[in-house]
Amino acid sequence: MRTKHWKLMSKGAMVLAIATLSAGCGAASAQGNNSSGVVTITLSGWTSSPVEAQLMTKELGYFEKAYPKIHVNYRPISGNYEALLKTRFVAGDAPDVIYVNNGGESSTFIANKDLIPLNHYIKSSHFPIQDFYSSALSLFSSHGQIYGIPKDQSPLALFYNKTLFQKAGITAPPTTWAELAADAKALTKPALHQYGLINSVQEPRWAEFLLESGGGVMNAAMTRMTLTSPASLQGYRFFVNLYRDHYATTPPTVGAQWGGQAFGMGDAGMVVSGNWLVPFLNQTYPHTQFGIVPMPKGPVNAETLTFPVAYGITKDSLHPQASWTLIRYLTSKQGMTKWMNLGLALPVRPSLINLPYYAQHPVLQGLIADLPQSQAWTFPPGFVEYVTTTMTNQTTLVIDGRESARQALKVMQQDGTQLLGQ
Amino acid sequence: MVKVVFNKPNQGLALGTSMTGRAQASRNGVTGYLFTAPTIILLALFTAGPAFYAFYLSFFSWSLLNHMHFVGLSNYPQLLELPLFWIAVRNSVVFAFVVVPTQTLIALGIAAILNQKLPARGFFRLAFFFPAISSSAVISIIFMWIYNKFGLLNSFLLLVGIHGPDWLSNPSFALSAIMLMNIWTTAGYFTVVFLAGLQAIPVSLYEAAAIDGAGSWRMFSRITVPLLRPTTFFVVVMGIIGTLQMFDQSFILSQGTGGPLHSTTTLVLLVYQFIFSYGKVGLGAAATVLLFMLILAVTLAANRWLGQTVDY
Repeated sequence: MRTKHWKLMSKGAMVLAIATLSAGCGAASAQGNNSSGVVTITLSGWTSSPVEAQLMTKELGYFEKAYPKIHVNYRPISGNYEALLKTRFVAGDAPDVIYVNNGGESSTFIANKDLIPLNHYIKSSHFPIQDFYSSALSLFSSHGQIYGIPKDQSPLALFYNKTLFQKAGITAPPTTWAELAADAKALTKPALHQYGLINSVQEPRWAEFLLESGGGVMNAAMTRMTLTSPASLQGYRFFVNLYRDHYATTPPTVGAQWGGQAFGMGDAGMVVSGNWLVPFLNQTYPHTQFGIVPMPKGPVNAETLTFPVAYGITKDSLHPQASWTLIRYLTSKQGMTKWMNLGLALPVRPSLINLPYYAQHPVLQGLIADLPQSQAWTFPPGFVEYVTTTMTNQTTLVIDGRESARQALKVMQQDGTQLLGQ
Repeated sequence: MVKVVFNKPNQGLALGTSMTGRAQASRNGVTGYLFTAPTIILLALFTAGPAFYAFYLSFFSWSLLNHMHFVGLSNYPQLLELPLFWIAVRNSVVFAFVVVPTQTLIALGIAAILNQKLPARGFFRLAFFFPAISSSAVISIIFMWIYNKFGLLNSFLLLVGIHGPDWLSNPSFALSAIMLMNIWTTAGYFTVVFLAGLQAIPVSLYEAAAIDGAGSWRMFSRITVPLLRPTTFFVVVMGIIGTLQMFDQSFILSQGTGGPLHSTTTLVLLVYQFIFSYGKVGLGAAATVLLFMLILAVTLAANRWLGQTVDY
């Protein structure tokens, strides 16, 4: 079995390229204009759950009714989305329309011109691009060209377990760092496997604390690492000290895979997470009583990170015009309203913040309130390895007490600076 | 295929009279190659071709998305200077060093027991072989639950008063946990191989030894073990290749990260990360070439040590 897998690997990009190419041949022959003039395009993205895929299929059904000349093949990719997408790009057979992740590889896709600029389409169809949050839009823009139309986003906010708060005698969720630390302490009962805060130590779970103390990972132009500034050190220390004081812990400590699961299991008093946790809790842990509030305010700012996702058209698309029609439909006010009513993510158009859906689902207000003070999470090309391994490993060493916060930030600053110089 | 089978005899008849023995032999060769052509083509296209292509890629700088450019041998010194590469080499070698002897001994032991006339022998053979035919991905996911902080393993340990660690997120235990799982999965397969080997040993040797007054341990150590040498060679070589190429179990149990703190990053996982996640195709390809050389060297050494056959 191991040998079989290894053979797959050793063939490397080549075989994957051939495999996807041959798989693509079938798709390509089905593409293009057939006798009735119907154009077929492919849409690929990741899915948070089978429910999302079902709803997307339904949505595309409405689209095909409105535009009978365009047929959409919906091909969600489960797991390792960007790695798989890269192999499709190598094969020259990428789907026409893809979800473009913020952070991750989107900057690489844009830098390598794997996505086509949309300015011309936006202009010719009078698409109201000014209605989008500029923070989200700027993520998918480069040198004045727009490469993706934002579809949705979710900021990080603080989820709290109402039952555990009540038991610990805490009347209101925290609004400041001091309250956060005090509440975490009151909620921690190691004998019951219960902790104040349970989150993994990946960068997007601590970078917001750096922002709140007036620091940050990089300067706004992303030309310089700013991890070793006193302000950054203050924010980083606050985060790691929660773990060192044992009021916070990582999910495996309570036998969970991720913070959201630990929270659903009732082992975490609080968890920093996004909109995606809401449907997960409702489906998997319907008995967990929770509330959502904006990230507690730090010594300087109240700030958080947000994760916008966009639709982009790939360079391999044979039908960019039809692809644009699909994107325009899905990101129109009407299309987006339908998508938002699924409760999977928040709007990227400020004009949709007051949808009736949010009045009916007041729990989401905490996330919406976090939007104005959120910064889109992103990194320059070539930072994936650094963010996923160096930053996580250094922080793991700090919370295990094997390195000081200052040392870890110094290592990250050095490695990051070296990457920026390449 | 059909065409080849049908045409060949006719051609043979037409030319048959003027054939010398040598020509006949070479014609047989051609026929042989024609028959094996589908396999040869598949192997060339999907095994040899990609292997050579990996070798070729190791001379380039490429991120999958940008244009390749030739960098000569420079990927190799760059790779050798990376601490992460040496961590991966160490993990893979330690893994092989622990797993291969353990699984070989366990497989031999179980095979020797199963070779006796035990009740419900078929059931036990199936039970031990079962992990080998189960999907490695499914087994990995089941073991994730077994190794959970509050999982099966720690519950058993608690019965004897041991508070077990958090196996997969503790850097000191994660690789050992994968070793344990790997031994459990592969020992059964090699047990069956040993069983086949055991049954090929003539009973007369044991009878002769019994007449000479040899005990069962003496028979095992003087007859069974030496005569199993060709089987042992196969088991050890396949074990070495399999363990040095271990990827899937690390990938699933660490959720693709090779963590915690690179403690489960094996060479092949690193190759995957270099090529598909980090856009360093050249470095990944260079690592596959070095892995190939490592496996070749170890296999040749095993061949020297275990390769000769034993005759009584």
